[in-house]
Amino acid sequence: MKLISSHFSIPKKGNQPRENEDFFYPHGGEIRRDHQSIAIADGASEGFLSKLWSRILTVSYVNFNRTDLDIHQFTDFCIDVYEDQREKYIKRRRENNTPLRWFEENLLLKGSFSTLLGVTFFDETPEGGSWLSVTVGDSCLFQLRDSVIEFFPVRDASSFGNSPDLISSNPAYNQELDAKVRVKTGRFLFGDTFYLMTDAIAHWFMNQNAEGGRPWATLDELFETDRLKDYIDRLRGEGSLKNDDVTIARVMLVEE
Amino acid sequence: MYTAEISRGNPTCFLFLIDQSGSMEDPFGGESSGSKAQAVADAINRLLQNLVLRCAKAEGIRDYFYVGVIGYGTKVGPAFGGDLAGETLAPISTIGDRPLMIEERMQKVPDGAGGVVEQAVKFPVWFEPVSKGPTPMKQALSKAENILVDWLNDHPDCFPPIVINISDGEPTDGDPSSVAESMMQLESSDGHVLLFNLHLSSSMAPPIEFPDTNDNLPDEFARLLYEMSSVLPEKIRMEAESEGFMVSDESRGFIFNSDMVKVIQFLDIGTRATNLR
Repeated sequence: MKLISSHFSIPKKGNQPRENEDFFYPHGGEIRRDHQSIAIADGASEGFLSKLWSRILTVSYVNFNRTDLDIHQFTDFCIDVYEDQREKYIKRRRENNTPLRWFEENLLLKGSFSTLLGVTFFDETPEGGSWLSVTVGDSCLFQLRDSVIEFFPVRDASSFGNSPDLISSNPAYNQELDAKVRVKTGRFLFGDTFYLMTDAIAHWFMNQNAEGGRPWATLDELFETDRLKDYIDRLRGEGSLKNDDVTIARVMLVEE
Repeated sequence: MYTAEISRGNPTCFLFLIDQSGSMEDPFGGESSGSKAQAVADAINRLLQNLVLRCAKAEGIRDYFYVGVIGYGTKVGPAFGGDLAGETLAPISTIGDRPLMIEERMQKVPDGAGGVVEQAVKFPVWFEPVSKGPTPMKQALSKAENILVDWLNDHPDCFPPIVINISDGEPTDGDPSSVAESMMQLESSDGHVLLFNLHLSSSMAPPIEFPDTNDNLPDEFARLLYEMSSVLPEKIRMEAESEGFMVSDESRGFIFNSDMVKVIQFLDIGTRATNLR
């Protein structure tokens, strides 16, 4: 099985690229393996070091690459990595003579927050295989085969809001994690395309699809012609896309 | 209406009016002990802290808000002290960088196992209790109106400014209702100025949050402040509802002997962490 992925990520209009708190992993290219994981995460605006947390969640998900992922074991692992990185960050700030200020200390106590959507593909038959997706929050997966044949986890555009479920880097705020985790499995055929998206663009995608449009075809063309940024700018200008960080990952599964 | 994006490119304005009159020396009837002046200082310090925290990131504080504090008591005017003295409206980053002092207070937080533990947190202080002189609320509202006229000239498309008046509701310079009404007529392209009132009273009556009638309010002062409070815009009302507040279409931005901090959480400046509630 060959997994060909490409991705596009742009910060909220008015923000710098370094302020983009979305993350997708792995970064593009072709991967050949019997099974392979990819992940997308949307760090919450409310929180500190959100980008670090969304990066740790996605990279860890891909590196865990487990078929029997236990969300608590996984989260504990990510929190260990986060705490190590956070301490290094604090040390660096001290060494640079820019110690944390009061508001940073208060935010650090609360921790960081992010959605996560991971998916693992398993090569099983000459025609294709199966996939398993685990998610917390409103980052979305769409499976395409001529049309959208699977939406996960959000099925209705009206379900998007400002307060999605999130994983926290602070164990005290993960008490209800079990109730927030959604798991789904499905089958794929070689030639299927999967799109992973953070909420704002997923919302647009679902609206377009519901209105009988072919948003995946639009995105396919924009990926090929490298014009996604202009298109996103246009949608934001028209008001048909919420001004938020946007990340889109396209994954094509091909038989070797 | 009330849907304009709040961003660094299109910030909005918070104006706090704080009662520093002699009557604030009387005991506070709410949950915490101490005087009403102490309750005002705690309220404004907590409100400012939460505004800063909503805008703070690792790279600094984003200027989503410009904030002014008008004190009214012996005199009426900008009430910040220290480096911020004389500032009518300051960007939230400047306010975050310049509290008068930073105390440490204990706060109850979840322990991860269904209980709570106490944790030391930084508590910045911009305002200390003051209680002296009359209660020129009308003058304070007039001053606020002038500040907002200038702000709206410069920011015609902003999310409408929010004025939060913190008082025991006993004005000494006449009925402030008409000035309040005139201020609430000011508008950006996104809606009228919002006036919310936090009534800190000596009355031991139970707290009231976002009422839609003045029927159950304990006294004439509460009724006065209720009458000059804006009806909650739909978006804020829906946020309040999702937080568990009992609200209706007629609910007003009025709080009696309780906490106004939630109002800041109701504003949309990005993804919020429900885990924290």
